[in-house]
Amino acid sequence: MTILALFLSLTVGFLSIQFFAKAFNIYEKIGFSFILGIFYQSFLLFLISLVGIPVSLSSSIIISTLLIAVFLFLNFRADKKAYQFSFQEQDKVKTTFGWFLMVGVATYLIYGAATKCLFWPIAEYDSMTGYDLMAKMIAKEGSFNTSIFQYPFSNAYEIARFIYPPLVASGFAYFYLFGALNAKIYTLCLFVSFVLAFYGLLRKKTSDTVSIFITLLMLVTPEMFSHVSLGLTNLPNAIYTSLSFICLFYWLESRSNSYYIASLLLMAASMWSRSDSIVFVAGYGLVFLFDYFKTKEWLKPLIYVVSCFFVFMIWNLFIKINVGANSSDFFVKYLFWDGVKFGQIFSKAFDLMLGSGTLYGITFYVFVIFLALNIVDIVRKIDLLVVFTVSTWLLYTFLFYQIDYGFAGSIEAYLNASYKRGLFNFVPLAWFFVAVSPMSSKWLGKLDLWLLR
Amino acid sequence: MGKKQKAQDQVSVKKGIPVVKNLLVAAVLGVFIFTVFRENSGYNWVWQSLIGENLKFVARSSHLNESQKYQAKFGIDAAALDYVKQNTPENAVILMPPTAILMADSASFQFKKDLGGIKVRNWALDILYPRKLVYFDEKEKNKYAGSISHVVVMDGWGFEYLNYKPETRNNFDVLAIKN
Repeated sequence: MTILALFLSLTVGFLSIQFFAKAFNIYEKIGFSFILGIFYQSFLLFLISLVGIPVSLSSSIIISTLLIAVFLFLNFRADKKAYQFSFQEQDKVKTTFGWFLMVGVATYLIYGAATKCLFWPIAEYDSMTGYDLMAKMIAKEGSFNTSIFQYPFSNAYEIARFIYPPLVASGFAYFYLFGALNAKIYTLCLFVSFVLAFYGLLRKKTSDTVSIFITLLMLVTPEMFSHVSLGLTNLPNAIYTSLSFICLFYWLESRSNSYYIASLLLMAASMWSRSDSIVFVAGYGLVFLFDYFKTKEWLKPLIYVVSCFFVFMIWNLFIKINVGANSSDFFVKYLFWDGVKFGQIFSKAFDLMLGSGTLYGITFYVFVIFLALNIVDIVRKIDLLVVFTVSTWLLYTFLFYQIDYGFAGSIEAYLNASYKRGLFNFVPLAWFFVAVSPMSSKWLGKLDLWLLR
Repeated sequence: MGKKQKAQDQVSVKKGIPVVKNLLVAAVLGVFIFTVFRENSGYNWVWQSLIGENLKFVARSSHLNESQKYQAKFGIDAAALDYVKQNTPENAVILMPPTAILMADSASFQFKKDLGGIKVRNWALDILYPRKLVYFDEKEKNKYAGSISHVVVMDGWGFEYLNYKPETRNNFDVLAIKN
């Protein structure tokens, strides 16, 4: 039955991509299939539960089948051959010895993570007292307004994990409905899909050998890689957010609707996984503003931002009405200045990113080096990838400045537990920049041609 | 890139892979990965512990079932909750002892003192769901307090909620409140 669950998610996602993303290569298409498919399923299961239809195995199968029928129809109407799937010239990998070596190392790492992930049941405190429990309740009770909200809560921190947007909880619930004993198969499928999609996106801008090398360095980022075998929300959130921005980057460059729609859907999914993704939408605002001065394009950015806010609001309203709580309850809702707190947070942020290198390996060191190497081009061309990465990092860090730490013990402990996981969002962006920066493109972009000539 | 250049590239690519250049680049990439994985404590941890040791552990522990895996992670807390799970129906509403009893230094079972464990309602609920839990300390506020069907007895606490005298008085047990 777990295979059926996976098949349905993949098929729904793949058919939607066949419809709207004709510019995608095969790696992007396969990679994005599960990532988008499970989001559609999660969102629709939530919507049907709002109108009183229980979330169940039957309703999950019916919804997935309906989605498949709709996308098949849309594909057929748009192009009668659209459902046919063929290997294109752009999909052929220029295989080199280095490429095989990197694929071998990446496969071993993913195999190891998969083995650990599927062996151990969900045992993380945040998940056991939050997303996993919520998932079991959604699957058993058939509603997102679960019996957990009937229990008394002694503090806001205790309820926080139940009022997170429900992508991860409903992703787990979906697999529980299909009889999975271990819901972490959701995280694993998401990660494997992510690696493939990231590689597919990279090879549009650089050689296959460099793409797989950077993909390997990205996936093995220690703290982030450890989350593949955990049942938490941070990695799924980072997957959606980072892929969303990379797709947006391609849209800004090519104006291809494939990437615009993919980016919008991914960002909506990001909002459906954690509310703090709102800072990334704010970062998009800045990018859209820069873009507006160049292109005068405003409608698509407007639709983009409104759609993301819609997803944000729909869950927050649901929680406000049914539970009376709000994910913004932990924030100081006015601007203030506290130099000590500001210094504490930013110095801790730098320490986590560039301290011992234990958490993120060489990621942020290499990013800083490539920033320096490319500084002239970045300033001259106003590199929107850098604008977005740096501005959202500042916003994200500032978000932690606005938190009321009364409930969390100490700032230090909270940053150690929470802030460091949010940095996952920036890991793929940092490596993407390293791969596609002007300097890298100049020296490494044609590595395969040189190797194969 | 012009069409002519592209055609030239394709023609030259078809001639075969130049072994020396490829081996050289593969070696450079391999040495880089090897060095980084060995020298950086984070990557080293991933390679040695997260992957290496876990693969070995999984290979020799494949016989464990779900509850044994929880017990391997959480010890006595998971064992106690599994016992409660095995001895109550899914629709049970279970009264749990006060924290002072669960966490007493003199308690016959020393449960987790740090994060999680039987003392945390939602943590225990994740293992016991769909059973409902009423912790004694929050009994007044818990909506399910009026429909308690079972009680977890510990170190003499809890027997007073039974409407019968049990044959044995174990240090830890879960009992139906009505005989």
